[in-house]
Parts: sequence; C-alpha cells; structure tokens
Amino acid sequence: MPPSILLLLPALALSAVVFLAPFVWLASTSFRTQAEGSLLLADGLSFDNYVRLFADPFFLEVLLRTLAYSAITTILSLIVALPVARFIVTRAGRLKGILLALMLVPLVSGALLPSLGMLHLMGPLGVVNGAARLMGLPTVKLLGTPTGILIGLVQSFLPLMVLPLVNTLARLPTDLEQAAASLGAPAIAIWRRVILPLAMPGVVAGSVLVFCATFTSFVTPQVLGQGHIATFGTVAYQQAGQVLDWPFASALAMVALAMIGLLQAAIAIGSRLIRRQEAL
Amino acid sequence: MKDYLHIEDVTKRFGETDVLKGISLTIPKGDFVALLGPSGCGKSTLLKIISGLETETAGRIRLAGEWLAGVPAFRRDIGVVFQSYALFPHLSVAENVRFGLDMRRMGRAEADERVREALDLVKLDGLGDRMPRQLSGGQQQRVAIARALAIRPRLLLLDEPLSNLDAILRKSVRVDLRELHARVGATTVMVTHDQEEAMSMADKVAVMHDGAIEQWGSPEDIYERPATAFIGTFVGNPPASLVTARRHLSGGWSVGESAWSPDPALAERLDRVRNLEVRLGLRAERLDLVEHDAPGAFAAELTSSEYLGGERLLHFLVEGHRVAVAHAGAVPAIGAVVGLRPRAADVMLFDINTGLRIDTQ
Repeated sequence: MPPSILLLLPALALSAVVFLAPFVWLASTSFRTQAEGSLLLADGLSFDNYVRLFADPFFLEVLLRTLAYSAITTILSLIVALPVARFIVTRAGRLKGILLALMLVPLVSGALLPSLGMLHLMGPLGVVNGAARLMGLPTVKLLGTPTGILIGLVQSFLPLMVLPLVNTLARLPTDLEQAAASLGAPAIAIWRRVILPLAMPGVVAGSVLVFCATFTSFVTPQVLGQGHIATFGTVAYQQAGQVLDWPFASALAMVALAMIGLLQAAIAIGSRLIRRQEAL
Repeated sequence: MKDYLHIEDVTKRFGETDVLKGISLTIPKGDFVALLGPSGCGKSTLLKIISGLETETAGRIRLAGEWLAGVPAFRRDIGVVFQSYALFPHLSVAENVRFGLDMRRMGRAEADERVREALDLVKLDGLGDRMPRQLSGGQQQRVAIARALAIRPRLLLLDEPLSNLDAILRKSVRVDLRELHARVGATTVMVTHDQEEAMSMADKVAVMHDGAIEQWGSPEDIYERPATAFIGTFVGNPPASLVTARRHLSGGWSVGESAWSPDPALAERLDRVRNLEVRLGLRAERLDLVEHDAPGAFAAELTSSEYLGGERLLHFLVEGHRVAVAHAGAVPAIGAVVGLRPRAADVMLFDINTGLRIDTQ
C-alpha cells in the first residue's frame, strides 16, 4: 500500500463518522420495532416494518404514486429541457455562461425557497389564478393537487436534466446535422435520427438524476401538496417527525434507497449491453 | 447544359465583414470544378451557400434550371462531403449510406441495391456492417462519398476532401476521385486551399482571394497566364517569384540597386509597360543559371538549396527579393553570386499598383 493512501484517511474518517455510521444505524433501526405506546426500541430484529410497508394498501399506494410522479416529472423535464439545452448550446452565444448560472440558482437555493415561490404563483390568490380572474377565465385549483406538485417538481429538478444535456449536446459536431440536412433530412428527422440518439448519454444521466431527486423529494410535495397528497418523502417525514415511529421511517428510507439502487443497476446493465452490441 | 449551375452576384456579409463580394460563376453539367484560395477567402462559405446550409445576403443561384432561393438544404438534392466526413457515429457504414435514401422513403429492396452499388463504387463492398470508428481515415472518406452519391445528387460538393488524409494517401485519392468522377459524371464543386489538388483534379479552377473570384479558367490558364500577381505567387510548386524592375529615364532598367539589361525580346515587352516600375513573375523551372555578368541576367546570391531527387530547388536573394530556381546541374556554393536569366517569353509582367497581369504578347 503506497503511503500516499494515508492522505485519504482524514476524509475517510470523516465520511465514516458522518455518513457511514448514521447509515448503518438507519439500516439496523429499520429491523427494530417499538412496543405499543412506547418510543423505545424493543429488543430483537424483525422484518415487521417491511411486511407492514408492503402489506398495507396505503403505503403501497404511496409507493406507486411516488414512482408515477417520478416518471412523469422525468418525462416532462426531458421535454422542457431538450429545447432549453439546445438553445444554450447553439444559440446563446455570450449569454451561455449567464444562462447556465441562472439554471443553477434553483439547485443551490435549496428546495424550500422555490416551493414557497411556486406557492405564490399557484395559490387561489396567486399570479396564475389572479390573472385568470382578471381575464374572466375560470380559476384552476393547483395547490394540493397532483398537477401543482408535478409543476413544482419539474421546476425544482429541471436543472438536473438541463446540465447533462448541455454537456452532451455541446459535444455533438455541427457537421453531423449539416450532413443530415444535405442528405434530405428536415429538422424533425435530424432530431430523431441524429441528435437524440447521440444525446442518449445525457438523456440517461439527466433522467436518473431527476427520477431519483423526485423519488426522494420531500419539501416540494409537502409545500405544494398542502398535506393532501402523500408521497414517499412526506410519509417518511410524518413517521419520523410526527408519529415518531423511527423504525418504520427507517424502513421507508431503506426502500427508497433500494429503489434508487435498482434503477441505477438496471441502467448500468442496460448501457453495458448496448455498448457490447455496438462493439460487435 | 452549359449553365447547369449558375451563380449570380452572390454576396455574404457577416456583421461588418463582406465574406463574399459578388461571386458569379457558371458551371456546365458534368464538370469538375475547384474553388481554390487561401483560408479565409470565402470559398467554404460559397460552398455552404450553394448547399443551402448557409444563406446568401444577396444574389441568386440556379441549379438545373431551378432557382434555389428559399429552397431549404434538405430539398436541394445536393450531396456534400464534409472535411471531417461527418459520418454518423451511431450508424453502421451501410446505415450511413442509406440515410439519404430513408429520407426519400425509398423501398427496402431498391435502397439495398443503391447502398450496395454506392459502396461498390468506392470499393468498400463487404464493409457495410462496420461502424465508422472501425475504419481508417481513407475508408471513412469513401463512406462519406458513397453516402453523398447514393442519393444521386444533382450536384456533388467536396469540402477540402483530402486535407485529413496523410501525404501518400492524398496522391492516390486524387486519382481515385478523378476516376470516380469520370465514371459517375456528377457535376462536382471542390473547395481546396491546396493549389496542387485544384490544378491536378479540376477541369476548371476559380481562384478566390478576399471574397472575390480573381480568375476563372483551366489549370493551364491559371498557371501560364495568372490574372494577378497574387495568383502567380499562389499557384505552382514552388509558386512564381516576384522581382521589381525599375525603368530609368535614360531607357535602361535596374533591379534594386543594380543595372539590368534584359534581352531584346523581353526589353520590347517591357517597353510597352506604362509605369516606371513593373513586377516580374518568374517561374522556378524557367530561369537559367548563368555567369553573374552574363547579358540579360540579374545577379543573385544563393542562400539555400533543397534536394528534391533528380533536381534541386535553389533559393536566391536578388536585391532583397526571394527567387526560387529549379536546377538539375552542378550546384554553386552557398553564398556564391551567380546570374539568373529569365527566358523572354516566360516572364510574367504584373502592374506595380494593381497587381494585374500586363498582357504584352
């Protein structure tokens, strides 16, 4: 072992204390139970929490709903992000740096601020409904509805889709599009046959990021759902913070983690298969 | 069709810069034409405008009787071979060639046949299943050509087709492209900065300089009768050397500080020049090495010598002007002063102010 590895020790020690140890504690807690009416952990390990999670239709519904929100948010983000990323790469010119910095703002400002902003936009007296009322149009209920949550989720996590897409699109030689055009491809065919297939790495990276971020999101569904709509994040929070059932909350967290792990593994295997096929 | 491709007063302006300053060109069907010029002369922009990938600021273009204004690139039926080849990296060789046919919604059997035929034409039969990155540079280029030819284009545009190939391959591809053109007969416009490529491959050459066509003619025209001093010093290997000669009030001539007495035939041509000064364009293979005080010669100091196999290229200084001479005989010592005698009929005369060739013959 080269002595330079020793230089990693401080960082490894810090990670072990602040990340690994709580994780191990979380994992082990998920196999514990609380006695009726007690907050103390009972002795012994069991799968009770997991059995309850998958047996109770409520939690199963929450799981499926969260998966559906994640999938829809991912697809919507992709639809919105592709033209944005393309614009930043091909047309923005000197504005490119500014636009990328603006894209980063919602990422670095945390989840709460944008959600509170969305609250003002989508509330019954907010900008959207206020404008609708002024124009004599019917108002729409957005807060506390899936639509409102999805709008908020797309808004929060759009940068996670745009940034990887900008990265891959910027690496596409413009020659390829020109070649396609000269061979008779109109813009739509250029997108479908050239840009999208070659942007796949960015699409996959962005989709994984948005999907995982959505699946584990808590603030956005909590604030914009107004407590009416339960997702994985809000239920875990309720169990840990209000019901004080830490073992069950831990089990929820472990399931979320397992979902993300499965997704990552599926994509890793999938892309390796594709690469092997291409190499043939 | 004598005016198959007709370019009329095409200009292109990027912001404040005039990249093309009124280009007019008429190319007959089946010709192989080169746009030759140094980088930045606007030749690639002209190619892009013909293909529709760039829009002209003013002027118009007609191809096979159809005005192209407003016709988008994808409806022009113009095959383009890009300098980078621009092969689709995610598609196999055959899929690359088939791309344009798919866009035309050609039936499977017919497209298969076309793809096979196009790959045959560029001698890549059997490599259809390979991916572009598995091919050598030369093979990639041939895929790009097959892909452009598969759509049976009305016009084939080649953008610096040889610049990404190594020197040895370049010479053989030059011949291959010529032979391919003879077989296919597609009207072809090639952009190149390499005068040797343009001269050896094209039926006709448009020499471009600074956004304008300086000369349009056969390679022989351009070599023997360059329209301007710029062309003389751009074309040829090595290009022509320029020497400034001045007329004295007494009627004699000098080069720099030294008196020069041109031979009678040349003196007669020089006498028809109106200015006091004139630029002499000298071809390396048309200068004789003589004694430094021989009649009709100017004194020159040998500065270096390159062995080219069979002959040498000698570099002289003539009163501050660099002059190259192709020479097969004994080589003087570096630093020696000898005489260079131009052959009267072979000296090109250029106007000292405009650079235009003065036709005195």
